[in-house]
Amino acid sequence: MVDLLDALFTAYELPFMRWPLFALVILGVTSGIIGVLVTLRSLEYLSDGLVHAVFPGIVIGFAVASRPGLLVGATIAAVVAAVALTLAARRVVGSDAAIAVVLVSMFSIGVIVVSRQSDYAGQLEELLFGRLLTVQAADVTATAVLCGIALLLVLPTYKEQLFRAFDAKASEASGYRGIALDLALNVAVALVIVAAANAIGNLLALALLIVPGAIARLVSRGLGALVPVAVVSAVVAGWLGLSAGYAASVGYGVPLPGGATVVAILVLAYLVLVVATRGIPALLHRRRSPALARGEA
Amino acid sequence: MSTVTAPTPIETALPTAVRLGGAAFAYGSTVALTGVTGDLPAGTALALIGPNGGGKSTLLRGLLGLVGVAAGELDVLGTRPSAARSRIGYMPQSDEIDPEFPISLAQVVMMGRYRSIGWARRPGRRDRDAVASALERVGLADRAHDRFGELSGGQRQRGLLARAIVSEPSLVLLDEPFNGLDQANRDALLAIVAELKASGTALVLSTHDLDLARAACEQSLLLNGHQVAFGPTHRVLTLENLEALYGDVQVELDEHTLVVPGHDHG
Repeated sequence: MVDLLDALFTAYELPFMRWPLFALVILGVTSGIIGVLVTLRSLEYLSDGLVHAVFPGIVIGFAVASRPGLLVGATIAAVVAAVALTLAARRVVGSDAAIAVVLVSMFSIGVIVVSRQSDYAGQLEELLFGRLLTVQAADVTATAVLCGIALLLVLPTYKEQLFRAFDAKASEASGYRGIALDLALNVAVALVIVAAANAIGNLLALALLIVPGAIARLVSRGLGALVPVAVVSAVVAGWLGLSAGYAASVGYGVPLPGGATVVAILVLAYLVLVVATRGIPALLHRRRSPALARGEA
Repeated sequence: MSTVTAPTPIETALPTAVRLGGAAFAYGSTVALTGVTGDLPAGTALALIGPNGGGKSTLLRGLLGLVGVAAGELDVLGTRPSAARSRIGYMPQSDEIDPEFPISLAQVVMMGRYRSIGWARRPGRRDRDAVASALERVGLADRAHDRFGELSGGQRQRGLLARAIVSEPSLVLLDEPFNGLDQANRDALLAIVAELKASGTALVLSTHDLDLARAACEQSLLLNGHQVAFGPTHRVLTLENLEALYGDVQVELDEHTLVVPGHDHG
């Protein structure tokens, strides 16, 4: 039996617990801030496209130069994919189709490359689902640098990003160039995905980017509360997820995958909040707009 | 915010806010509107009337410099449209806005100040004062902290108008401002339009409602891919012109009201 306080606090005196926690705090703050824009702009699907587009970069980088190559490859792939998807969304009618094509083709390239490696299954799993408990100081540094660049792209333009999210037409009429704002945001999203891929895995990075923003949108009524709520929920989920993994493996000998535990806690929190704020029917039915509910439309 | 580089022309009684000389507008190589010629003096309003797809939105976007001038001349506030943008207020149709967006009315109006606030900076005292006075002008001072999506349609429309005028523009563009408004809100909007004109602001508004064009606009411009007529409203809104505008569709002209085909949000 493991002590609750031990799992929540004293466990973090161990280096193999401390570094992952640092990484998750940095990721939580960054993805909370950027995730709010993702949910307000409804960029969830584009983010999913970026997750898959980053994958071949991770695999090729890893194949060429092992662990250090992974981040370089992933960053290159992320930036290229973010620019390509931003431009495609403006030129192609129905940007979902463009995203879907990029998503599946990039992912299949990644799988083909990784299948040439020895220990195919083991490596694929690590790349897709992360290796949270083996995160080292160097990984934390890389995470901090990538997240820092992402925040530099988004924070100085945050109010302009909100304007575009709320009313794209009026934003352009005021003289803001939509393409510039979209590029800044989409590249930032791609960099967060790369940063998160190393710690919690390529596929699970998406959850960190989307769920905290969704939670914030669910519980906050005003603009000012969105970012604090998203950041706190992402950071707390990271901490609780790590602690739960520690308790399960030390106390019960059950090894839980760290990244997946963090994501499971986030999603669970979201579902609980949906029920708490809107009742059980909200899980089963499409939300109706307030105007429709009032019978005005 | 912007500095005047060119010498300002001597002010006449009614300086011209918009001057169109055979202007044509095109998206890339697709020409959307041709042959628009006329002047809009400061302190007056111009109604854009025509079928959906006839070029009303194109002209509004052209005045903002978001659609290119393919031929002819366009002069906005004495310069080219994109250079005039910071002195133009624009109000889109409020039904295109997501009512679930978590934002207060005052925050929406503040967006009209973003250009002058600048990148990476937060609104200051002067900006908050400007927002308060814009809300006062549209009669929504007491709703400043209400969630935008929970306001009525008419209040949202007036809120977006407050955003359009919060930076004291010289030219205000309104896209279908009277769509779906009840009588009280129409009257309120008409009063604000009259006040703006009295303060020397020029307005261009697109509308399907000929009564409102008569009530609010000195001039009307009939558009259907090209200019059908441009001039004083009472002279332009004739049965002959309107039949030319709407083609062979039956047009009924009562004493005041006209049943316009294709009256929808477009």
